[in-house]
Amino acid sequence: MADVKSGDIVVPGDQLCVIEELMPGFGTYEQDGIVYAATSGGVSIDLKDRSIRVLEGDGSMRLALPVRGDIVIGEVTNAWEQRAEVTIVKRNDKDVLSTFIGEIHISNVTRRFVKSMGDVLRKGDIVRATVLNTHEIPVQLSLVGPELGVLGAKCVKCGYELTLTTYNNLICLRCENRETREVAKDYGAMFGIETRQDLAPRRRSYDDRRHDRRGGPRDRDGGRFSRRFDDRRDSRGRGRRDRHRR
Amino acid sequence: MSPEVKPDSLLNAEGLRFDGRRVDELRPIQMEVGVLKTADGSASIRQGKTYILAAVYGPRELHPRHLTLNDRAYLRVVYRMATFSVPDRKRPAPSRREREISMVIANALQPVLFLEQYPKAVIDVFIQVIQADGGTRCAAINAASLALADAGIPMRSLVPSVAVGKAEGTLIVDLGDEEDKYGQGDVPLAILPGTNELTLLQQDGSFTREELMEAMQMGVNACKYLHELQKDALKRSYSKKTPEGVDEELDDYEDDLETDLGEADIMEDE
Repeated sequence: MADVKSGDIVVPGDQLCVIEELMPGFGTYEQDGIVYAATSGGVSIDLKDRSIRVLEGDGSMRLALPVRGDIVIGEVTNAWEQRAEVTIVKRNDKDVLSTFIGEIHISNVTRRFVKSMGDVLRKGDIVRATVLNTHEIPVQLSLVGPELGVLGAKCVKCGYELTLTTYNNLICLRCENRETREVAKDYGAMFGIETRQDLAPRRRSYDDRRHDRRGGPRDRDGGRFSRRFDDRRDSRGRGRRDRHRR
Repeated sequence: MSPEVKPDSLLNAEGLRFDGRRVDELRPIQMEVGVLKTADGSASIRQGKTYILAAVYGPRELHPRHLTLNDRAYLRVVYRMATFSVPDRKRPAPSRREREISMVIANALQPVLFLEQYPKAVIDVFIQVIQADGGTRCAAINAASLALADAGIPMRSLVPSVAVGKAEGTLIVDLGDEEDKYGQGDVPLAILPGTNELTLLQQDGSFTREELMEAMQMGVNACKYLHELQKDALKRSYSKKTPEGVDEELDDYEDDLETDLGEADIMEDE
């Protein structure tokens, strides 16, 4: 069997076994049919997989790069229509020594359809995310899950902290601006912002469409205002054509 | 440091060096791993009066971005001497010598690293000479390879390094400052202990072909010893990290018995 057993402390260059015995995993390398240790740490042999790895005492990897499944906290430094950039400052509740840039694609923000990144994430938000790739730069992040999402956000108009009202709806208590974010379950807990259920946006009945004139998503789906607008354009076009005919 | 005086002779009648060492004897060496809190990996080395700190950061994002390599990581080594590390104050601006030694150390370390595993990243190695007493580039390579291992960066092996020199016609291992200054030359070298490949070989002064070959052999032997010291230092950092190491080792032992049983089962199935 192998030259080492599980739990042995090895250093880079130590011979572990031959390639026929065990597959080289993380922290090992193979050269001329012999598996050597590439990092220092404890040997862990998996006889089900028939693989060998070199890990820390607690089964983690020493390398400074995030691995898949790590929970990271960072600040959104840039947000575009399709993707956002996050500066990662904490990894698994420990400060990282040199910050990383993480990327969030819009498809990894939530399971439902999102039209624009601006509806779920904006520059300056503090987010908790999970890592999707292992030992790679740039780090891909995902916000899918109740624990993950925005932990703190600021009003785009006045910069005041936003207060959560109900699910993903936020309000600025200073300028009463309403915004939406993809929030985590414990939004604001880190900054001491309490949830204000009473400030939830009131639901309007479908007949009450006075406010729709100022534009909004419902207009494009055939709201009264847009239809009227279309009509007018149609009539004008017809008018021009008519004039032509004359 | 007191002002230097040139020793009357570097070798005495009994064949001992002026500091009492045999010709193939290294200076007392202390290596310690994990000395810096805010570095991903760090190590210090004390070799005679030489004292060097090495810190490794990364793999991390490379700034400035235009240096990024798309197929492998960039290895950035910075060797610096403190202003107080030598008897005459060293001017703090990076000197040509420092830049060259940085490059030489990077070249000595590059063959052991799996840089292609981390494209677009950078591995930063900062080497600070706190006190210089000869052999700093070799001691720096020893410390840097330990710091890289401490950072968990995959590497083929540790890199031991030592300088062999010539004083009064005799080859001597691990030069001190005086031997370096008043001797006839030196050959710093670094090896990969697994395969005896050389990753650093420089020469200063004149050596005959036979002398050079013998110097290299002496250097390789000294490197083998240094490699054992490095391994020891690295393993010591692990026992230090787990204070209840004794208990854990016992646990591990029990696990081993279980795994052995597991294997026996598999064999039976087959």
